[in-house]
Amino acid sequence: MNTGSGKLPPLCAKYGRELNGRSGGVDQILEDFSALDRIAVALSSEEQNNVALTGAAGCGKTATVRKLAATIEAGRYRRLAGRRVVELNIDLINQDRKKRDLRFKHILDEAEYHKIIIYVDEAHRLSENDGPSNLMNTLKPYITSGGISMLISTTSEEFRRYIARDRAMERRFQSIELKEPGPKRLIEILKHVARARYPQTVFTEEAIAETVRLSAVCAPERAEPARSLELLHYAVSAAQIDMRPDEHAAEITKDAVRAAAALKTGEERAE
Amino acid sequence: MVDIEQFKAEMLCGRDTLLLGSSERKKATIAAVIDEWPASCPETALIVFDHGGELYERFAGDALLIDLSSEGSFIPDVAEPFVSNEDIGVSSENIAYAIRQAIYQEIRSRDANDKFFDDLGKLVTDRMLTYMLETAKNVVHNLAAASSEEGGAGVSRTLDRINLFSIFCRQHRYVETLMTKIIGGESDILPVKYRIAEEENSGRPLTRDLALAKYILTRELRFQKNGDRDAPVPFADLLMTNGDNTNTQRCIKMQADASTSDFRALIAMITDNAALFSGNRTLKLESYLREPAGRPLFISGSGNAAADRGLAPLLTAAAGAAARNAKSSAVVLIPEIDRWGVFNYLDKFRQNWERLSFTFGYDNFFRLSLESRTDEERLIDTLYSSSVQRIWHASEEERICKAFETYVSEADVTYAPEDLDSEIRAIEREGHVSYASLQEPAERPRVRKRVRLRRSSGGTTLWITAGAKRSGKLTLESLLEEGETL
Repeated sequence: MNTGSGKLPPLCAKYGRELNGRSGGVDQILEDFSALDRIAVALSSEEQNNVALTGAAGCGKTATVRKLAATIEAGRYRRLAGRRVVELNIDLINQDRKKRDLRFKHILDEAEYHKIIIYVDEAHRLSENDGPSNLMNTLKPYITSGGISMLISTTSEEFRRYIARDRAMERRFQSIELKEPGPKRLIEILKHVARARYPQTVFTEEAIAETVRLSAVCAPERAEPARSLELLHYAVSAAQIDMRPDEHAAEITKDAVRAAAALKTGEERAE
Repeated sequence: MVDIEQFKAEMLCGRDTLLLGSSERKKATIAAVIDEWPASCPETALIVFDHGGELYERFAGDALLIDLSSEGSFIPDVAEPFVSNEDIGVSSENIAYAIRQAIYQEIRSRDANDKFFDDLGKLVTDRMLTYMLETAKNVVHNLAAASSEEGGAGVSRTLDRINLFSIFCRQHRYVETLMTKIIGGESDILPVKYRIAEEENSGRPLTRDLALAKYILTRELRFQKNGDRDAPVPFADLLMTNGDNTNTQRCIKMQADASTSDFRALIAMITDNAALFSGNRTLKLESYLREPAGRPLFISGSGNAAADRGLAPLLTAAAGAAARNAKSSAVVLIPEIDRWGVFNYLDKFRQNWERLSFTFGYDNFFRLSLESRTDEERLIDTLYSSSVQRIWHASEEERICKAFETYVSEADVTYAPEDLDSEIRAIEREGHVSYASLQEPAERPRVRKRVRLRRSSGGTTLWITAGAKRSGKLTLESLLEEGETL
């Protein structure tokens, strides 16, 4: 039984991507070990070894899973040592309608055999086709038998609609809600990302605070920290638009954030 | 979860196997098979048709090379296995027929006219080969006599020490000349009967002319259909004309020539380069197959595509005969069957040579389609039916994926070619697939390099010396000099 190193099995490699060992962007995520620990303990459980991460869009579910993979790789959880997290591309699996179910079954066989943790973002897409041919029906025996460990991210509403209505499935899933970070935490996250992503640019304290304040105006439908991060990146991009690609903004101030927010919402750019 | 076993070279033994999929993956499989062979299957000969020579040059173990363009290469005696076989070797006609099976490229007859010329082309070829064999036999007897080797045992001992195929090739030009003369109506091409008796009584070794004449007079009277039974000539029933209307006979000869063009290119290469080959050792196939000792036999392209296509099927058939003689088995590995002109003979070889198994792939699908004269749409079917086992490698090629879907039972499939990766192969027999994993060997540097044969002034015949008669006692060495066999 292969539990770790080496190549991914063929179908997992073709229809998914391994999240372990991928550093792109993960360093920007500030560790929140409380969330990661809860997920890891759940995945290690004998009975409820599947996790549904719920929360508003943009609250950081996908980023948390990526951070979890990196943390497992770093060896923090001995119980999960050697386990790989593979994010499945459901769109790719759905492309071949004829072979979809069989293909998905074989992917799950591989995951079971190689003890791979499967991650599916926007898990409602597993139930896109009602009736016997939806992927959830293929998945169910693997979940209910405890054969695989699965992570899904979904909204609370979708979890209730697609997972919780089936008692056998619900029993096997632990629902972990990711809440939006509070203001203090949000500021920490923004500062962490700013340092990690834009090391040559100084962000003033006022700029960070203004970002948090104005993000609610720019994207009220989205959750934190996604909407603040979006405005942060936008502000940097707006400040650098007239610079060469190898140049960087020296500083992002409160005014720069305001100008970026105005631009983003369609007001005229300040001269 | 599908059970994935370890890929082993011995999976190829005894099974005609087709390799399908990406070139890179197939090459890795082939390299792994060759590397593993000496340890896994030392008692089974592995004969590798290695067109570019890279497989040979990168193989780190002990190996034999046949390469008509390189120094140090063996020159195979591809005539001797037929001659030594107790069923085939009973007569020159039998041997000629066996050889013809491996050199005659059949045409698909579209009408009675095609069939007429094809049938006669075959007869002419059989006859040509028979005459070449009979005169070669005479040469061998002369060699045995010159070495004071007595009787049948002496001839057999002499046969062990010479390259019969080289001698056989050298008879071609003379026999070819006879064919041209008889078409042209020159019926007096042989000495009259009473002179044969004189020459025999003189005790001197028979010349080529007289050996042929004797053969025809004693053996071929039954073929005379053109009147004078006392004036037999070679090919009389097939090619003789009075010199006026020669069209039909010329067409028959052209058919025979065209259908054996690659063989003729091989003969030309052997005879024209005889001086260059004088330093090369002869490979006796039966000895090799009896005890391969884990050494693969590589056959590399000589640079002469026609000669390569002439050699490959003949060598394969000879290996089949040799394997039968030695009661041993061999795997013939042909990664690029489209480069060797073997594909059209494959079914025949599979039927005739039960001790050979073939593992083959192709390099260029279009070229193979041309060579086999099969539409591309039907070619995969044809390839499939020429094998009992398929090894499918990773491939996104539509043709391959579609073929897999057609031939493989869906119930068995976990990985189709588009799902396979660089490690896993799908092994399929009768529609049922299993999977095997292969750790692809790392790219190896060359451990040896072939050295091209070069003409030296000692190998060429200077104009001033050409035609000078040899004097002195005939010896084995003198009889083996370039161009002189009698």
